[in-house]
Amino acid sequence: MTAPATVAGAAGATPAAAADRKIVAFCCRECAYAAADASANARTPLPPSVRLVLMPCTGRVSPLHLLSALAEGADGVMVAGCLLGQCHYREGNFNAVDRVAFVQRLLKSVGVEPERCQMFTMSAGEPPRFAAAVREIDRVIGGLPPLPRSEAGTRGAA
Amino acid sequence: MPLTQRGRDILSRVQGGALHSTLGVGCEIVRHEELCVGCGKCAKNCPSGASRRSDVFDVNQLLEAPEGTRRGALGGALRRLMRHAPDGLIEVPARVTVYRSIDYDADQCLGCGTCARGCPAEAIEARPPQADGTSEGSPS
Repeated sequence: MTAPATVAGAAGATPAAAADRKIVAFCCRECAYAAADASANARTPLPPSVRLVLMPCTGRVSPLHLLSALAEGADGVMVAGCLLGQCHYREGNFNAVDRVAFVQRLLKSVGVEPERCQMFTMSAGEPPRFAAAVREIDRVIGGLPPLPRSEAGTRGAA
Repeated sequence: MPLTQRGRDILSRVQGGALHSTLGVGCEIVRHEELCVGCGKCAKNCPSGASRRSDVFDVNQLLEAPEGTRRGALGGALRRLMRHAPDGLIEVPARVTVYRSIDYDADQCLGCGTCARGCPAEAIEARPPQADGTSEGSPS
């Protein structure tokens, strides 16, 4: 993450304002990142909260990526990958689906809203679908209470 | 934990009576779950099927894992996020392989110590048995 975790102190307040919100989007290079690129080229307005992280495949995303992003200042994380069955590496996105489900259950078991971690699938030729996914998670996260972070990020600033 | 009945039966069939010095059968298996990395080697190596990968995961295992390990890092992130202590066991999706608790059934265990020798995290101890059938004590 490039952004320092400064939102951490905002606990106990109303939902994070649109400008302060941070959503980290882990995007597959083969599809979602291309879709995001095309969406930017088409000058589709995206919510300012989203931060893109390029992954070689969503199968590279581990539960540690998702949880540490949340712990270090993100309000939500999304994993954007290829349509199921169309993974460039054959089944990377199936792995990602299960890992996202695992992280959601982890979050749920400690009282955090599982909607903060979501998986979306799209093809490279669907920029509107990427924009719609980002707007969707941005809307959902915007309605949630802030995350309780026990201390400010120590690695976020590095 | 005393020797299991099955372990005693096996010991009685072994030539020479009891096993004194080698990890044979009848060891007491002590699992240190907080050190477990979930690789499942113990389940893979287990000849009797006493250790098995389960379909659930105890979230507390993440919080108790030592720092500097992957589970410890995950636990550290979770500790900063959590609103209350974990509810306990969660079901694990099929493709998540390492975040699983290991089922260990002492009644099926032979006490052979194969799991302890194969454990990369040194999370399993096999305490050799003594000749009188109790499992306290050191190898002689």
